[in-house]
Amino acid sequence: MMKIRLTVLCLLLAALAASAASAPFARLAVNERAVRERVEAAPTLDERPDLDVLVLYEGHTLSLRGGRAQHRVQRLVKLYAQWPQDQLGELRLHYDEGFQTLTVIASRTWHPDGSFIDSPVNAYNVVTPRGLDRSVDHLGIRELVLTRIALEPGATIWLDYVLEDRAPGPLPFQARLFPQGDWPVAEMEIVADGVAAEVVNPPDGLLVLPEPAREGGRLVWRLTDLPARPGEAAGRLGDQIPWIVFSAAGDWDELAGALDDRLAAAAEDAGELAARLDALDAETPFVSDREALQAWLDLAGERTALLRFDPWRFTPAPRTAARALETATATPMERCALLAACCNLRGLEWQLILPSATAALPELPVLAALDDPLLQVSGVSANGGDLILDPAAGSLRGAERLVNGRPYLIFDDLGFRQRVEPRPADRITLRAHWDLVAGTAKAEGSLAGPLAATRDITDPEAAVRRWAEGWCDSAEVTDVAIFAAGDGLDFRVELAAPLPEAGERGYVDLSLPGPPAVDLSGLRPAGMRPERSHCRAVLFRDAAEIHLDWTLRLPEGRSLLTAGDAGEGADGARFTLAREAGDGRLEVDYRLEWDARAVAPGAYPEFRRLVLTAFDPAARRVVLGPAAE
Amino acid sequence: MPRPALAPAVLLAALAAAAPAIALDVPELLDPAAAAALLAEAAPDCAAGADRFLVFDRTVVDVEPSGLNHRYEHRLTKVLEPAGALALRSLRFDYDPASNMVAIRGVRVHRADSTWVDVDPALARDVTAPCGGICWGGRMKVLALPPLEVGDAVEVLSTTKGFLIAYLDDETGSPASGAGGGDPRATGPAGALVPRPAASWWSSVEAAARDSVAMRPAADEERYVPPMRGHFYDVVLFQDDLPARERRYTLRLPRGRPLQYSVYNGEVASSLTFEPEHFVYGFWREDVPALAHEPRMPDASDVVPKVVMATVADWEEKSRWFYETNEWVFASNPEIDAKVAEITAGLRSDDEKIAALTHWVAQNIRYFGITMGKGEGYTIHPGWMNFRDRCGVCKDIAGMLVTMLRAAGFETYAAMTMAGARVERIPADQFNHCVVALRRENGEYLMLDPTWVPGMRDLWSKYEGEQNYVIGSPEGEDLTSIRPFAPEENLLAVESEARILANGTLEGTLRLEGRGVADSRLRRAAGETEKRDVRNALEGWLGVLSERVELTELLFSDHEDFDRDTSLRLSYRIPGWAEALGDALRFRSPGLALVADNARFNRLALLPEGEERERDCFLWAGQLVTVDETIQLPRGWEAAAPEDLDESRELGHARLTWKAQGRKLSLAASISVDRRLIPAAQVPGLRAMADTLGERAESPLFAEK
Repeated sequence: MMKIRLTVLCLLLAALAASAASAPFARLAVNERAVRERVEAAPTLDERPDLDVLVLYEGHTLSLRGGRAQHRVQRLVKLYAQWPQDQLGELRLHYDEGFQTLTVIASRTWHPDGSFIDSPVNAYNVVTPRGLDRSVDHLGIRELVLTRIALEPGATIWLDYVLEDRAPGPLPFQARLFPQGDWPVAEMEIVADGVAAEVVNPPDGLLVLPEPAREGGRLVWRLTDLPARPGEAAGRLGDQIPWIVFSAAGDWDELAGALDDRLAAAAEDAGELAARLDALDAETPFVSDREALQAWLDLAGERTALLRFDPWRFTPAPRTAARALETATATPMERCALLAACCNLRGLEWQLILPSATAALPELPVLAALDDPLLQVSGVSANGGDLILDPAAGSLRGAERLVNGRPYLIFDDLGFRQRVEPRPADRITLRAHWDLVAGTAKAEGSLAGPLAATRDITDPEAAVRRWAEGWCDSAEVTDVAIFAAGDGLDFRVELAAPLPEAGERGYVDLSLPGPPAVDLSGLRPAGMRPERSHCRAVLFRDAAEIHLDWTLRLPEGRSLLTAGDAGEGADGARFTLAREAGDGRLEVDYRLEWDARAVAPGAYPEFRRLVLTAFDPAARRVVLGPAAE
Repeated sequence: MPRPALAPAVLLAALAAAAPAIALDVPELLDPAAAAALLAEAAPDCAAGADRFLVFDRTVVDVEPSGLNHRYEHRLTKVLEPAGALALRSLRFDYDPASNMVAIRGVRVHRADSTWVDVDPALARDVTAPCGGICWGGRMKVLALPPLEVGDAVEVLSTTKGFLIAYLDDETGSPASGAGGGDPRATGPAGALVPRPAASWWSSVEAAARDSVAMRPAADEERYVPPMRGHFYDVVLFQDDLPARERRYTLRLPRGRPLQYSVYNGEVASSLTFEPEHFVYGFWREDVPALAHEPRMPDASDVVPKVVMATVADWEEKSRWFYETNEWVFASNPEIDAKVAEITAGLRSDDEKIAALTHWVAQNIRYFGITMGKGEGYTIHPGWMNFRDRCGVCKDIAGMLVTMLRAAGFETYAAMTMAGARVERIPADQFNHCVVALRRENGEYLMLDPTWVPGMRDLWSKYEGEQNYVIGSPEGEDLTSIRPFAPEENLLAVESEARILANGTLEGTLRLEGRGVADSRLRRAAGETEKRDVRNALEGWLGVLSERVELTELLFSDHEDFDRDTSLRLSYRIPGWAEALGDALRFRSPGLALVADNARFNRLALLPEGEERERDCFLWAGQLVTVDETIQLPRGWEAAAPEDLDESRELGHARLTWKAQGRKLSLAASISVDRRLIPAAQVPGLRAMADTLGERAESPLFAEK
């Protein structure tokens, strides 16, 4: 591979245009003259002091012939600052040497003075990707580390490479491309030749990609002045910025069916798994199928190191369960095969479930749009329902908490079909009464989401106890009742909760408790951290309603010093805080709701202010004045 | 049933491939019955809680007169928990074909039921190794093992020949790395070179012995002969992350090549025996627990029992070799000369020129290693190559600066140093980093480190105080050390002017000025962040005051101006900062809240929690932080000064002096941690002081009507 590549490099650099005509690569979108023209016409550093990097041109040509795919990439990037040198210095390209060839046609650095230098031979290093170094069966997956030399502000990097199949891949060709990247793009061309393509514009995205033009049977996008993608936000990238799917698989049923077939085949050869299951049974007779499933998940986790190498999440050709055990390594798909083999051995029915990684699946099937595969095992829950195994995470959950509102693919009588079960808004309610005179309290509440918090509650009673005991120093739970657990939590608790000791100057600070197992300020999406306050994409993936209602019986002789009501509104969000005092009591009513999933740039500051005000612990603080003499 | 052992013919062939020219008791796989007896013994106490332990780890090193050495490793690891079995799912043997080879001589799995399985070493896959920041063509052999069970053990015999350049990367788990805030490498160039124990890295040449017939190895083995021909050195650590019943190291040297060695950081048993033509040195420890990691503990080589050994006479000899080996690489060319002239144009003093050239190299030669082929690792890339590539590892970056300084007329040499750990007196290579020494007219050296000063005003990073180094010079230099840096040299001065509005909102301005490591902290916020993110990143800095903070104005000095320290002016507002509680107004000091428990600004905050500590605490640099603050209260309120704080420890202090005058409350704060290495006994005291400071920052201030 290296030799081929380097040969191509040396020969083709000498006569790039000629080689392009004769090489079996996709048509050159940009030739050497066009590159030079773009380099010379690029804005100078003085003209664009606001830039770190500008992608002058980026071209992608994806073509499919006889089941063999070819992806040619051309990228011309100008540096406007020093620090991005490290980001751009090395390019890491992955390929499977079993059926793919990677050829670098050009890796050239244009000096600011207009001369250029090509990456020397020692700048090409084919290595083993990190994370696969101890998996003997995956050492055919290679990583080309290509170093671009002579980088400096004002330099321009030209890259031209082709990744092509030597033989049809194990699955129908499909790929995903995000046109928006870390840097703004002046000009971009994307060509799909011989393969279907689809634009996915997330409903809440800030950029809408146009539909492609049809040129002689090819689909072509010509894009100009693409902004850099927005900063970090909650949710997956595919929920925030547009993407393009290229796929030779006719529909999801075809792709998922192919995966399902491979999974079934991989599960057939279970090797020594039967003996291991027997040993497990002998060690700990399982009371329920649920216990057995958890034990199998543990077994898979203990016996196989999970290979987390993104392009191979689904392992187009998964190894058998026996081989995964033998090598003590498994991709998420191979862990699935291991668990499916367990089910086969114990006569349980399983089904492959392919959850979407984003809020909506495209029409065209592409593996990159999917999350880790799951297995649904039928009739094994306490009430005869289904349970879901997440082999990669090692977790077991009820079918009702399947994929958190995202679509998923599951087999029915007609084949693999997409299902969407929209989740209702996350609802958190709490009604608490705290008698500060008697030193007792009781509360009841309900948590219907957020899933990120509730799914980790393995022992609801302990969670409620822990929360109640955190109300104040010396709080002691006297009674707990759990009415519902699983997807949510309904509870009631009673406790001894004496008036906290006064602090400096005699003030008593009461922090009114939020709901159990949920840190309110933790609900703030990552994109709303102060250092990420530029985020303007999807901020909250699910709508939510939080209603906290506290009643306090106040001790005599202490004044109530807390400020009055508050209320703010923003596009798609509301917050009110009402305090009403009288007759030795204080009523506090806290309501926060949001339904906005994305906020326009202009509305963002107001939205952020509202959310941060609501999550400020001061909103739930009550201060009592010093005791009267 | 036991399966037959590896066919003798296969084993013999493997041995023949790896065997040295001289006789030696090469270790062999254990007799299965003997292994079963060994494994039947209870795990030692030191293995309690571990998922596996080393029954033994034995290394025999046989050195030829040329210095070429053969290393025979014999290791038996017993699995105690499933995680231990998973960790042993495959074996990885790294090597660099340019300078060494590795042969897997035998691998045997001893089952808990006394049966055994031999694994054919020929099944090992030989592929290029992963590469992080350095791509020098390293390879690895990976051999899968059959599934293991608790109670099984893996016996491995391997041989290496030659020397290996090893390097530090994320996977080495340096105790100094990964704990944000304090490790300079977290923001500076990563991947400094470290010598791997038993590697001969940057070894020197004994010219007189060069032509000795006895020192001439077979022609095909020439590449395995260490650069310092005829010599040997090693640094052997007798403790790591696995507990061990026995760790043993045996060294066989020609009689004409005596070894000087010393034991550090604890006890290691030793022996010296005579053979007709050799001295045989033995070192061992038994029942060695796993190294317990403590936050911010020094490098393992500074704390675990180790033997440092070398046949080189002294550091001067090493220095001369280093000079001679690399002298040729510093030649300039017209392009470099032109760049030097451009950089130094208009600069009058030597200091200005030195600073300008050092900063140019630091900013323009990025850290990434590509191989130049023969000599890579211990030889610096030629100046023309570094200038062309604009990338390299520390030695190449240093080499670029030497080349440019020489082109500018300065007498300059490359030097070897060890960032983050000690270099012991025994002249064994203990270096992981390469820097620059400029000889002044008075003969004194000025040390420069272009690898560590990108985005830093200093020419030698203040993270590198008290660091040992050896300059490569024609005369030969002894091991010496950088002076300790005073905390004032890393001063962060914070001026805070704050105003509380009648509705409780705080409006304020913070002016931060940094020196030394504080300068780089500030400077890199602008110089190493996307331009569109700088403002948001700095608003994030103020997030420690309140999540509701809003940055209203930002003034940043030019991060590319290395003539002055960085300054930063942040204007902000925070709703709800103060609460009116009847006749009292309750608020906090924003200046103190910003620095008190914030490792971004205050290195005292890096001290780990915990009342007891076994290891010293390594902070890389001491620091002084001062806060000069005025808080203006709303009309109708009168400030009340809280109690001052004056806490001093042997290696630091925290002082808060308050003054109230009408509507104004003033604070003068001084916070210091004085050294980069804090002895274990002093850590709790300093931590308690830091906690007190943090409590004061959280404690409310009051004003009255």
